[in-house]
Amino acid sequence: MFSHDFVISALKVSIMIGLLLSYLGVHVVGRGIVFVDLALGQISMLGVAFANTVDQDPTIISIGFAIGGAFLLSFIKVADKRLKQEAIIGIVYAVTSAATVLLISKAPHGESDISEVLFGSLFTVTSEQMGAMVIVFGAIGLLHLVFRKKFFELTERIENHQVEDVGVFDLWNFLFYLSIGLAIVLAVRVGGVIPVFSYLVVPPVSAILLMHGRRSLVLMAMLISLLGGLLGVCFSVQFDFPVGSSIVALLGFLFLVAVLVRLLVMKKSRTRS
Amino acid sequence: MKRSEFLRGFLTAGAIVVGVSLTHASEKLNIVTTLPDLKSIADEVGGNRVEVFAIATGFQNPHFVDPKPSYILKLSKADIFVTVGLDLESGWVPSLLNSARNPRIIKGGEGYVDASTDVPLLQVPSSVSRAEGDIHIYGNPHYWLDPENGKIIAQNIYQALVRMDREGEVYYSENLRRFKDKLDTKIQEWTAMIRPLRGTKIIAYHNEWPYFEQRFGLQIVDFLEPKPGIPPTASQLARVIREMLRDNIKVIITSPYFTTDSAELVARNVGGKVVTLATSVGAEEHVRTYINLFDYNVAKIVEALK
Repeated sequence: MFSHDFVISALKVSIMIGLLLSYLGVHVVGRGIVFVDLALGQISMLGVAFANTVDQDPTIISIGFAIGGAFLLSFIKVADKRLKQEAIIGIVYAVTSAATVLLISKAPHGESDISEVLFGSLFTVTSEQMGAMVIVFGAIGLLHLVFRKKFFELTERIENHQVEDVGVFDLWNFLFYLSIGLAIVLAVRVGGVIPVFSYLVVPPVSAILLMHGRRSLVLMAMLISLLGGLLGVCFSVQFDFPVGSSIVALLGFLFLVAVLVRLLVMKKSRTRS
Repeated sequence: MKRSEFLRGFLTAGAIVVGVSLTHASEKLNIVTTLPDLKSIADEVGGNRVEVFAIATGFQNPHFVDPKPSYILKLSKADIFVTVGLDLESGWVPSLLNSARNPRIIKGGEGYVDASTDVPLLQVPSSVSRAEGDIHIYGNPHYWLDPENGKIIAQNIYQALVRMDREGEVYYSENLRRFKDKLDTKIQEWTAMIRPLRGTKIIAYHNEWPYFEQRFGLQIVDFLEPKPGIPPTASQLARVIREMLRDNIKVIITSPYFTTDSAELVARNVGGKVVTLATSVGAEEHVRTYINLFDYNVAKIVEALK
């Protein structure tokens, strides 16, 4: 199974995407903005549609749109307790989706270009894409490793609705959204929208069910994402399924396991007390 | 020491020779095609000297195929790869070939067959801007839907077979001739069936029938899609309804991978009907070969227009 180059590169990419996205996912889930992934994905799709209309290179423009979108999203601060950021992000998602449809319907070449630029498969990742991911993901990872305190402080403040003391433009908040924007655009292009969404959300949520401390939470999320990727790729090769959906299915399975473990632990602690 | 080394070397060499000649004698040429139509033709020409695998199924939109591991494995072992070409499969073939790392079948390799070579293409855009809403910059890629082009495809596959397997040349050329003869007879039969309907106006869902239309003398006057790949809009549907009423057009043809909701809506409005034709081998249960494909489509359209 592991003698084929395409399986090896799928594993490498799933490790890269898994480690970075499950870490970013801890922030995303903590802030309660899980749809940020779909919104940013949709914004870069809007970029492709726009590039099509003005006949420009879709790759650069879609990345530009994602960065611009991340910049704008970083301004969203909700002090009103009745509202969650998620609601605003949902609006961004819906409106950019609609704008994409409107643009495509007047663009000359229809939908096929858009899907070509945006959706790949882990099995068909090119060495250029891999190189770009190593550089960008490495840089994001390093940034978050060095300044992890800053990023987690910010996330905790937002978690606790203490947004008053976060400035209108907050550099760290922008850097956080920029990291997510870049990571998602690159990841979606090799992995597809739904797998990337799952990598961002399933491991952190499962880890929250199992762990308490921040460090153990991050490590558990990373472990789950690695396991999901490895099992997903093997499942896909063994039974000949598309790889993205296989990984999502296996991550879902791991989530179920986490739920069961959590239930068992709760039962045990209740009987003990 | 020296002797045993020599012996080992000798045995290894012997084993390799035996192994190579064995695999040569028993193994067939591995052919991978993108569409089942190409597989059917490759089967006809290659006969029992080849093993053919088609990646896409007949009821799948050939513009979009989600890669599975087995596709890459088959491609990595293929001797010959046959593609429709133009830009029909541009969304998935280049990346699959890239992952398969098989130098024989990459573009320009000995085993790479672009089946569109020498096919007289239709709808090649005259302007570079593509502003008229044509996604196919090289011409319409649905050329296998003209049975005359089936002969050209067969010829292209034949050439690759001879390149890769000289010993089979006589066998392949005999198969090629037989296939072309069979198609010629059938083409006469099909055109005779459709002749009374020549010039009949119809509507199509997607722009994938120009070759079929031209061969059999039908006249596709409009499409439900306002532009290829863009789902029908309200104004387009209204326009088609007007056209169908004005010119007394009764039939809308579509393909298995499009929803028929909008076509049914239009048909209800004008008292016409929707006919789902087979765009590829395997689209319907009875459509098992390239020749079946036209048997099925011609019968279906004749019945609908009667």
